[in-house]
Amino acid sequence: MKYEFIPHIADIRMRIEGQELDELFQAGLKGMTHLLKEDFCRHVKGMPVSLPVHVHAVDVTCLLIDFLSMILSMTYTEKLMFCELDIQKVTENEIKCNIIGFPMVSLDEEIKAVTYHEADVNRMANGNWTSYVVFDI
Amino acid sequence: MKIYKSHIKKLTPYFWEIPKEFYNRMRVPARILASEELLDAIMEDRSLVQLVNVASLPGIRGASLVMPDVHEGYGFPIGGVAATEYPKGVISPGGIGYDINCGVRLLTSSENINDIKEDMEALSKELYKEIPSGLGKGGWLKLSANQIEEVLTEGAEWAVRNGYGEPEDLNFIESLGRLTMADPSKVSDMAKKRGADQLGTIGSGNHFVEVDYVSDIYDATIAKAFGLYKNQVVVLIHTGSRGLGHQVATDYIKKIMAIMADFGIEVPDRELACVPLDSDVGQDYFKAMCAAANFAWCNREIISWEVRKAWEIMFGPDSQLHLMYDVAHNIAKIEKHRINDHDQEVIVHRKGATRAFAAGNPELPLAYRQVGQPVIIPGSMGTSSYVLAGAQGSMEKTFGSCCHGAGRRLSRTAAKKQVNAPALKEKLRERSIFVEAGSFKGLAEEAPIAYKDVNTVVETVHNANVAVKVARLKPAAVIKG
Repeated sequence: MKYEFIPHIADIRMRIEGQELDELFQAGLKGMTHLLKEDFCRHVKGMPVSLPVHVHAVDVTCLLIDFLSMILSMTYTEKLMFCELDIQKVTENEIKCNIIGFPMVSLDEEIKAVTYHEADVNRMANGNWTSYVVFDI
Repeated sequence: MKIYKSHIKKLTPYFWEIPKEFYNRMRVPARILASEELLDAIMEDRSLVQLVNVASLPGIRGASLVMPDVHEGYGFPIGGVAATEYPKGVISPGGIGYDINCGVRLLTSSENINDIKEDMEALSKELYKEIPSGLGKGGWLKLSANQIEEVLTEGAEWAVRNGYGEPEDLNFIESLGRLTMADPSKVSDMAKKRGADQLGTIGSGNHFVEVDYVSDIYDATIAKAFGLYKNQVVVLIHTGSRGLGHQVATDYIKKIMAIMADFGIEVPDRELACVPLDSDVGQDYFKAMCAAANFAWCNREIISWEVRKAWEIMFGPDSQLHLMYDVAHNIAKIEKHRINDHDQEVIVHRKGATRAFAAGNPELPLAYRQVGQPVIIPGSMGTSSYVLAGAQGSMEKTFGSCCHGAGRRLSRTAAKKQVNAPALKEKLRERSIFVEAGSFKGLAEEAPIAYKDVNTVVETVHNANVAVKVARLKPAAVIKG
């Protein structure tokens, strides 16, 4: 499971990779939280809070983007930053999980939105799942 | 798709065209407002491919357009204008952007920079104290459920009614700071929750509050009408609808993507998702977008109140700030334009483009009706900004639109690699530009080197008679989230 940031002229482009879909979604979550606050998940403080998330989508690319959008919205409304996923079910059209968050701190960067631009969840030659995610900053 | 210069036809020294024959899905030509030098720079990213994609939208009229500050976005290019047939043409949330009614306003003072030069550092700190960035913590104003409905309906009027603005400000805001089609019931609870503590906050990215002074006057008559004179201190505010607008766009792009196939619409990039304006979802989005635009105007009005508070602390109650103008640059409006010798109502999408109506337009306040709409073009924090006036060329060629800034030329990653932010802050300080920023990372990303030369961009729109130069502003203090 990994995430990396790749230059984009105005916004932030992230590439994520995971052996299975659950790892891909985990990579997306970790990368997004890292962007909001560098290394936040390495130095978490406070009591963890677990919240349920259930997302359906027409395809696996939409599922990834809608899932990250949902977590981004919950980050702002719940004032929590999410570091872990406890996945009960993940298919190409549905994810059901609990997300584990910690009290929000002052952010490095405000992400306006997770866009569908360039997103394309697919399998690489080595069998791993990958996609780009472009954040509107 | 690859676009080479040989595909682009020169119409005038400042207008270029990719004919609709270039790509079989294009319904209209794609036009570029740029000098040849800027065109070469524009061709380095994917802006023109995105412009061609916009030219394929159902119901598009005239031409898809980009301004000289254009850069690659997601779906639509940033710095793009598209007019679609009203009411059956499409509306696309991606053609407006996530930050609905991101915009800029300019406040004028009666202070001369030479008299208050020594106060600039203290003023920058006072402004930083008064204006929250809102990053993760929100602002000081927490709206109840009823209040947020009122803000979404009333826009800037809400701020004035509650003592956070001056009644005379309203006349100097695009659309008087209130879109009457707004319907708060079309805005999701999640969006309302995101916006509930964000009024009066600027956010991060390229948003700022900046104290400038007028360094040059190019058109004395128009400058006088706008209340501008040499060495006058002014304040620029650049921000939008914050998390509320971001959530409205997110919600409706998802909804529209799910149903656009029902209208037989296919798009080459999911971020171009669109539906006919006269469909139920099209109407719902438009009403929600209007509500978010109202939220943004209220936000800029309340930030002005915070600026005025800091100003009074520094310079006393007699030193007042007046609103010159407030203009949106991420919005869709129903406007009448002349296309192929016929006046037609169209849905004008402006994404990173400023409205720039020429003299005589009844939408302009009486004080500016003889000279044209003020067009405010912020540069980057170490360079100049400009005030222009909308001119006849914009009505004839760009659906009454102009550029909105300098336009990025470096990615955030590249800027961070090239810029030592503490050194930049010190260098600006040596030039008497005092910067207060939430983080050095944010400062590096927005360094002057990351942007095109604003002077070249402004010269282009001036020479094309889209907007005429009125005054140049130079920075003295910059506040960033």
